[in-house]
Order: sequence, then C-alpha cells, then structure tokens
Amino acid sequence: MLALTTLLLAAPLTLQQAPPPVKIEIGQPFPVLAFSSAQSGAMSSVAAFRGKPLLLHIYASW
Amino acid sequence: MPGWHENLNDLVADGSMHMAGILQEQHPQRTLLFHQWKQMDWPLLVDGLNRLQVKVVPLHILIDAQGVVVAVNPRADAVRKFVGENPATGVRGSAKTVSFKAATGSALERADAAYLAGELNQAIAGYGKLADATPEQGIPRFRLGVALRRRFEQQGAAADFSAAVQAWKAALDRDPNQYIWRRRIQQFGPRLDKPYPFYDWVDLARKDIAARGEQAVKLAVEPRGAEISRPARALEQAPDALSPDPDGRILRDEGFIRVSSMVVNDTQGRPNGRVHVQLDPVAARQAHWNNEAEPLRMWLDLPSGWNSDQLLLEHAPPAHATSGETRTLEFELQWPAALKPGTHTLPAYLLYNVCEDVDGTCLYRRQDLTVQVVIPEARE
Repeated sequence: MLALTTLLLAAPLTLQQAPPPVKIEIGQPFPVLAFSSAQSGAMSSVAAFRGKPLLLHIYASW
Repeated sequence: MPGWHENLNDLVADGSMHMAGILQEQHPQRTLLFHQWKQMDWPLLVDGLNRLQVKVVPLHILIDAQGVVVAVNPRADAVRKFVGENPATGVRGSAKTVSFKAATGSALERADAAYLAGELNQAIAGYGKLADATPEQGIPRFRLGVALRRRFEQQGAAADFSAAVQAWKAALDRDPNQYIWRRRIQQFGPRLDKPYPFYDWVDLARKDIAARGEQAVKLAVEPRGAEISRPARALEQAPDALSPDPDGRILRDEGFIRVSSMVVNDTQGRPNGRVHVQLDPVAARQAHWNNEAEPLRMWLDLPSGWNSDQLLLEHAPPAHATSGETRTLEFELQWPAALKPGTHTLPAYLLYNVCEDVDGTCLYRRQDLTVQVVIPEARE
C-alpha cells in the first residue's frame, strides 16, 4: 500500500473535468472502492466480504 | 443500527452472512464508541470523503455472495429469506484493494490517495486545484473541506477550519440535495439549523460503558460546543449582563494571545450563525493562562437589531494554576434579515489573565475582536 501511495503521489496531476459518478444499483456490482478500516486502519473494500451474502449499512453515528 | 444487529446477528454468528458498515462521518472513533456502547461488532469502513457519493444516510444494501447489489433498504425478514435461499458459496473474499490506478488515476483519485495516506497538504493542494478547474463540481470542494478540517484538528490553525466550512458551503451550493455535505456544516453550525444534536450521546455512552467495567474507546477529537448542542426553534434570550469594561480601561494584550473567529452560517440561508472563537497562547513568548484569577470572559457589543444567546461568555478554567491550552468559545448569533450581502462586523472584546515566560509576570489584559459575518450573494 505504501509503495502504491508513493507512486500515486509522485504521478503528475491530470485534471478531469467531472468526477465519475459512483452508483449503487440493484443488479450491478457494488462499487469497488478502498476504504480504511475504523478498527484496524488497514485498507479494505467490500470485496473482502464476498463468498457470503452481505448486509451493508451506510450510516453515521449522529 | 442496533436493531439490525439484534435482528440478524444470529445469521452472522452461524456463518450464513456478513454485516458491515461504511461510515459517512469525519471522526470514525466516535462510531467505534457508539458500537462499543451498543455492543455491536461488525467491521466498519470509513468513507469520510463521501467517495460513495451517497446523499443520505442510513442506507442498507443487501449484496449477494458475488458482490452484486440485490436490494436497497430491504426489511429484515427479506434479508433473512434471501440468506436462507442463497447460502454462502464457500469462496472467500479478498481484501485486495483496486481503487486507485497508478497509471490512469484521475486527479481526484490522486487527491483521495493523498488524503488516505495522511498527506494532507498534498490532498488539499490537489482538491484545491480541481475545485479551481471545475467551477460547477461540488465533490472536490466537499473533499477539500474534509481535508482542511482534518488538518485543523491535527495542527490547530483556525484558518483551516474557516476554509473547510467555506469549501463545504461551496459544495452544498452546487448540490443542495446532498445531505451528507449539509450535515458536515450543520455539525458545527447554529442550533436553529440543526436536525439533531449529533454527538450528545457521547457522555451517556461513556457512563454506560464504564458501568460495565470497560474502558471506553478514546476519541481523537472530542465533540464539543455545536457538536453536542441541541436543536432549537428560536434563539434563546441572552441573560442580562453588564459590559465588564465598558470604557475600555483595561490594558490591551500585546501579543500574548492570538485570537481568531469564524462564523458557520445557517445552511438554509436564514439570518443566523454560530460563532467559533479560538484563543491560542503565543508559544514564542511562552505565554500561558493564569487560572487562579478571574476566568476568561468575552463581551459582545451587539449592533442594533442583532441578537445572541449570550452577551457575556465565560470559559471555565482547568484545575491547574497555569495552563497553555487552546481555548474556544462559541455562541449563537442572529442578524437582521434585511442585512445586505457582503461582510458585516460584530465588535467584541476578551478579558483574560495571561502570564509571560515560565516565571514571568501575570497580567490582566483585554483584546478587542471583530467578528466578521459574511452574507453571501444568492447563487444563480
């Protein structure tokens, strides 16, 4: 992860006019994005839960 | 969320399904504390940047074993039925992450990567450049605000907090239906604009956790002020008070305490805001607070037609004789609805006891302050 991040930070900035939309749609794969784990700090994604049905809650504690 | 845990945790416990969460807030430790309080144990991923681009929470997404979305906001019995009809495949998930593409990643992805790596200056520069290049896009502005707020929490520069709120406001102007972005401002904004108190549950959670004999999750950033204040329907009347130095006779501070202020406006354009004042002892002068004399006070010289929930604010000092911490004061402010767009000023002053050098003299000093209230032009 560190090596990947270093490579990314060193890469030239290419401006993109519109950020691509991220969609959560029935019948489509859930977006594959990397997030940090609140518990461990390690990077992970929803793909880590494949192999069993997953009920994913998107929320905030407020 | 505790209801979902209670209703379906047996299916997690017997290996039939996973439950997990993705947070849409700035401070993940607060949700960990909430989970500890409610004795919930599912894995939590952090999406403080709102990279999923969801506009509201909560959302509940049922995903099959291959990673395909099956239902959005299903009922618990429908989840149970689906799990019963679609057992685990035996294929284990992979923790591999493929989000960032080194060769073709966009500028936004690069800035996100910098933020996630903790390279906040790089992230802020990247988001700022993107915001300049995409005047109609809210996303880089929102993420710029997230990174600025995080840098403020790490380094304490009040200008970063102010810039964060401006960036969030600019994002929300571009998509007023984005309630994740709106909540990020309201978290620090006036009570009249609050849908709920945000983090008022933290104290109760800690008490309950302590009563169970557990050590509560430590918070990286303690919620305070606006973050724990209750919503209000009207501005509370300020208690009667007298200006403690009406003629300005107290000697002025000569560089011991640095004061900054900023106003978080109502997100719906109503004429009120919450004012955040920050006081930092100047390290170069080894300035520190004298806590054995009068407490820090702040007086507002409200212009005609303006109102506040407080005229005279007071900061309770810590128990030590001296201390060097950053201090904050917050108050609600309401200005005349007819005020024209532009910058308006609220005069105020602070009185405090400050000491110079480790064994230096302690002085009672006054510092005048002008709070700037910006009324934006209506966006076309």
